[in-house]
Amino acid sequence: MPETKTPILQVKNLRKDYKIRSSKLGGKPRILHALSGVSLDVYEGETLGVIGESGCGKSTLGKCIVQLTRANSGEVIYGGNNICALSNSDLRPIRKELQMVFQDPYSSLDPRFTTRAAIEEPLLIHRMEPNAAKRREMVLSILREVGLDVQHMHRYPHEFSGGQRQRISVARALVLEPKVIVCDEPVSALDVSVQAQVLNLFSSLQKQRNLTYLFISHDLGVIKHISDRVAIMYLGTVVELCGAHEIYQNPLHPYTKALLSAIPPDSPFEKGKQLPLSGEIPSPIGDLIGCPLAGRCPNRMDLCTQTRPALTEVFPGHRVACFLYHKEEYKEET
Amino acid sequence: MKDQILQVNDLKTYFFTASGVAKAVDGVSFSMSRGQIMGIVGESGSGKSVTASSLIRLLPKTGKIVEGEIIFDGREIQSLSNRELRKLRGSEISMIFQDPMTSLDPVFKVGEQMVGQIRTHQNITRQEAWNIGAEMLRQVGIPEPEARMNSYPHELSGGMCQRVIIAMAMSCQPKFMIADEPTTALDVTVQAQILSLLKKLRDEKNMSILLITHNLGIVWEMCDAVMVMYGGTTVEHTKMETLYSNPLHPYTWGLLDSVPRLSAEPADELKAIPGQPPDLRLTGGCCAFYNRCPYVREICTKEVPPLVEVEPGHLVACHRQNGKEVLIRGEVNENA
Repeated sequence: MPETKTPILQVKNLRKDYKIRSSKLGGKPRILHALSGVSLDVYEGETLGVIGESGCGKSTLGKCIVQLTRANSGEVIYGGNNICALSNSDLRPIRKELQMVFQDPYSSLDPRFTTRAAIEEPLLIHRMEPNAAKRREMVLSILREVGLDVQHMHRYPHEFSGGQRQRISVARALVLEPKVIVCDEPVSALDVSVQAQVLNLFSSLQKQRNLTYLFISHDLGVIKHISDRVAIMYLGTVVELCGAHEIYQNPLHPYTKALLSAIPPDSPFEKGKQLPLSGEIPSPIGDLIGCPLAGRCPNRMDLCTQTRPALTEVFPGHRVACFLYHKEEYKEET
Repeated sequence: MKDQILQVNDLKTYFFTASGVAKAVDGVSFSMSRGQIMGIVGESGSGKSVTASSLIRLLPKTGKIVEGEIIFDGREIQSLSNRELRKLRGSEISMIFQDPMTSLDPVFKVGEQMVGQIRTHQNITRQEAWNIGAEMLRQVGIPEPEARMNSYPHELSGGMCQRVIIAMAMSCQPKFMIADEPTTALDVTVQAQILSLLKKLRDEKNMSILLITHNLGIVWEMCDAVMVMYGGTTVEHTKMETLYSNPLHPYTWGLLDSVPRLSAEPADELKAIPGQPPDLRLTGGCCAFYNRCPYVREICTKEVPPLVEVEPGHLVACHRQNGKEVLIRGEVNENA
């Protein structure tokens, strides 16, 4: 079980705020809390799925982990160091090991770079291989690994379909031989038949190279298929963290339950589910007191509007941030 | 079919581009009755959106309906003048599009846009139209509709904008609504709200909805009948329950298998369909799916498979699934 392993990556109380300029001249800027205290452990060789609706901070979390944006406070511990505190030059060797694959395969590749140039670029930046012929070999072998071949090497991005472009993006990340890959909605822009191909590619690469994925998606079906563990995010916090099968069989947090009930059914014979959540996600701008779900939650208590529940282990390997499960009686019952 | 509202016969819509003729829709026929929700599923480039746009002749300049007839409520759409068609659009047939944020004009208030739309089709005063607009917003579940009439689109969230679009589409009490991926840009919890709203409107007003989607889950949730499209042609057309319990076309099998399911046991691999969707400039003269089909035979590369009624109400376009021959799912293809 991954629980017994030591984590390859630890995220501790990560916070990221964005300042929003006031619309009035000279007005005070308002603060958007994109991440308000996220803590996660990622174990070696596992896939941690991160799911949530738009604006919940899941992409910001991915970017803060690979240090594309710097968090305001909190720690990301990788290889024994808090990489949030490192300078850009100290970070460079670590960037090689933490790579990212982005959502949109149309805008993440430079249209003026051929496939070869695009995949070669990270090798040049990190001065991995001085010999041009050997570099070409490396590019070719990585291309073959992601299901493309020598005839694709000198083509430009516009000549490829969405699925093929995503394969190139994966190759570009893989060529540096990373240990952790943050995948930010890598299959959301693809059609289902092609999406399945790319998901299978991710799984087989993980087996061959013992990769660790942080897989961000809004599609619970995809997340459940690919992940070992799942973190559910809502408004900048993780509300539930558990094994991928648990999330479907035993969801605890009211938000997780609502999310599950909102997903269109797997078959025509599963209808009649109720949606307990009404309204929309509140704005992440300004300070929020209490549980982020308090305004929409069907099980709201007085406590919820005053204090924010912490992510607490309820069952072994199953953490929830909800007061419903924090009471001593609940723990004794189960 | 009783109480039929729409009949489409052998519709062909081609796009005349610099690099050749793309057969976006290549011979599609179907009919719909009042109060029915029919789904069109398919991948991007399968012709589902173009089929829908052709119904109200809302095509870009390069696109042209080259053949076929569209009979809506006893009238042939192709023979209508632009003026007559404008009257029809919005009042009898309305359409909602995928991206709610770009469907509204950012420089006009929501109310102004609704009043403009309502007064185009109804001879009433501004104030009356404003009241109708506010009432429609209330019906689609927008809180404080009077205040929202004075909002600009950027002040509303995506889900709220899509509600405004639906309210606008509903304001002239259309008989028929085309919903082109109405929830693709929205989050799942908001998607569920919008879908139940559409269903409520169908139940209350007996409106027919043509729902275009790539999400099979939405089909199971919403539709009475489904048409599966691939490469500009219909490959399977049947009742929704039949498509789930007894799908017959190899592409439908592939589509059903490639979706990761929540209720499924964990599996190592998804059964993906190999290859890429076809280039629409090169289709025609053969089955569009032959180069990705695991059950391909020689005839598939030479002839277009006709749409055959294999069982009552179940149409399939496959050479190996034509009623005489029966193809078994998962069968080993000795001719491959």
